[in-house]
Amino acid sequence: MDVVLSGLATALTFANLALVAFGVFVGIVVGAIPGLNGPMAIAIAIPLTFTLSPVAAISFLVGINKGANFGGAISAILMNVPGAAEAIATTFDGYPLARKGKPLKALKMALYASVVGDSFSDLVLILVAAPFALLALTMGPAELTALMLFALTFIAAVVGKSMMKGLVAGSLGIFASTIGLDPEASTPRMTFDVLDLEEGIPLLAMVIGMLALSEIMIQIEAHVRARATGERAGVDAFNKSTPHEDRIVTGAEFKASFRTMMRSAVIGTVIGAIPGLGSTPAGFLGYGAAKRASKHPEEFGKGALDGVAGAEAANSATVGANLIPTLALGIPGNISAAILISALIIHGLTPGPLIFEQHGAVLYGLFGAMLVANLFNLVIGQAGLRLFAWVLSLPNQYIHPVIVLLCFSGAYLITQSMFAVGLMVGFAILDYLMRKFDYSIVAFIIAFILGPLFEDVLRQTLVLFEDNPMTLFDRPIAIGLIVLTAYSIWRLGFGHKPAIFKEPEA
Amino acid sequence: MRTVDIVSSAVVVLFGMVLMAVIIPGWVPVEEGPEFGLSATTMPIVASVTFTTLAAAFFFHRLRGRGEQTEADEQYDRTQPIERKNWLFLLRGGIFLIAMTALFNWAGFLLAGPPTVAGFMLMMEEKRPWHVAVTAFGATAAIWLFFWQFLKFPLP
Repeated sequence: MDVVLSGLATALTFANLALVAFGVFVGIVVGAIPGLNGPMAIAIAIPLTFTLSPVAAISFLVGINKGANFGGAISAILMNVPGAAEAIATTFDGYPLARKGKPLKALKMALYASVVGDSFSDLVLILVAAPFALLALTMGPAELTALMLFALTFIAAVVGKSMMKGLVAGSLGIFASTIGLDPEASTPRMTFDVLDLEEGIPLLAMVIGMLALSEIMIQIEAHVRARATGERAGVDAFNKSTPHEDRIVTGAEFKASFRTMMRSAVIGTVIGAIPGLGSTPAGFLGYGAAKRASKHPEEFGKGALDGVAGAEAANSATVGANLIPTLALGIPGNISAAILISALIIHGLTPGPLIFEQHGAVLYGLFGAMLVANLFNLVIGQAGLRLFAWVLSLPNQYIHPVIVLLCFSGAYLITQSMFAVGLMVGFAILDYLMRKFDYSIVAFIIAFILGPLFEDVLRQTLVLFEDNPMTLFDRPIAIGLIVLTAYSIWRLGFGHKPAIFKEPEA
Repeated sequence: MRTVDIVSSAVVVLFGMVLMAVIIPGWVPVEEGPEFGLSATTMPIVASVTFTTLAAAFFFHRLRGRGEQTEADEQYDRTQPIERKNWLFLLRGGIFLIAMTALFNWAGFLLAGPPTVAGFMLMMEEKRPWHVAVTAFGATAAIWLFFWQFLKFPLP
């Protein structure tokens, strides 16, 4: 109890609250700009948190993540261009509502649904993560090896169109993680006598290169092409002739959509807790469930308020739930969670079952900050709608080059040498090619993060089973996970993927 | 997409073979390690064998063609994921980024920042010189000051 209270006390200091609020603000702004997204913003922001305490740093980053999740809905509703993939389902009814002259109503419903979904999943995280970690503590190295094998295979299978390509990307990620000193005997592995490589490839240089710099390069390329084909038009959210009732979500409307929000929150939480699935399928499933449950399904796609609520609550509910496997097992649920893991590692925390025992106060501080961030999301989102709508009109040719400069300076801070900057550029080019060739970068990065842990538990397992490999059969959980891995390879790799795992069509 | 899959998997196979034949034996010393557990070469070799085998299997799978193809599969195969203009952009952007990294290393942030921003603005077809100049110098100065004064991490 003392740990919980001390964690909450750390989270609720003025400085920390200000950082969370700033993070939410930055997140909404970044999320609102098409092409920019939460993971990119978190990747660039991590080096800026080097001087902060772990709680403050992680709270700031979580604030960005939460803000960006709602921010994606702003351009989805006003421009029919989702700020991030998870907001695609929000465009289905958000944009038609905006075209009907109710953009503010749609934006506010998206905000409320986002906050409801996010808060629900945070509460589930807080209630479930610790018992989950306790369960994970009962696992030995054999079970952990099998679990990691299952997670890597499953993520590789569900993130792209081809499981084979996902597995190739995943094993390339594991290979990249072996560069540096061998953890057992400190033997240099493929360091090419470069001193900077002895610590391995800096995770942040990879993350900034692959998620931020490369994304900006792709956006710059898309921008040049879009200019050639003409600019896109948006809806004016603050048209003075809009009647008052069309600018707000009334109590009755909120009440009518609350059931939809809660249903979607449950869907999003379940999807978010499964590694690899992420918020985009959650948004689609939430939207689909809202449509199926509606008494007026014919209104969906033409501006149904329930459609916006269903999609937004579901995609936002993945934010907290993604952290369940991240914190309890050390297995990141999606790319944002993977970057948050790298932030935790940089600040001296190793995610996994022991984190609750070793850094309980930091963790409960993080939970407190997450709940507060939802409140800030509501307040800042509501108060700043005019500003966020204006941000959409900022020309990309000013924003993107400045972000490139931030990538350079952020990468320099990692090791305070130009080596990390060079690596970042190299990974940006690699990422560009991987995306074009459809090799999953999510599988690559998650495997890179899990690689050292996987090697460690595999080593322990081999030591354990050296005398008698048949003792594996005394471990039913490990056997069960191995069977599950084989089943997922067969079901997702060679059979027809269930609809939930398929790439959504816009 | 089929051609791209075949070429990309062939490249991965080639990369894996170079790793296993040249790089791992040359750059991971085989020393007397502890008598238990894994040697330093095990994980790099396991990972290389895995992706090389998978990429080879994928190469033959795509070369042979699939048995049953749905309309979605055929449509996916018809997509052209990377075209000449993409390669040209990658070449232009890549060379520019590498040149700017070298400039950073040689001249420092304050001198390399403005040409980096200006270069990308021009690439994005911003043609107003004053806008380019103010953004390039303003952003560089603001970031430099932020890192130096606020984060206490002076940029080079």
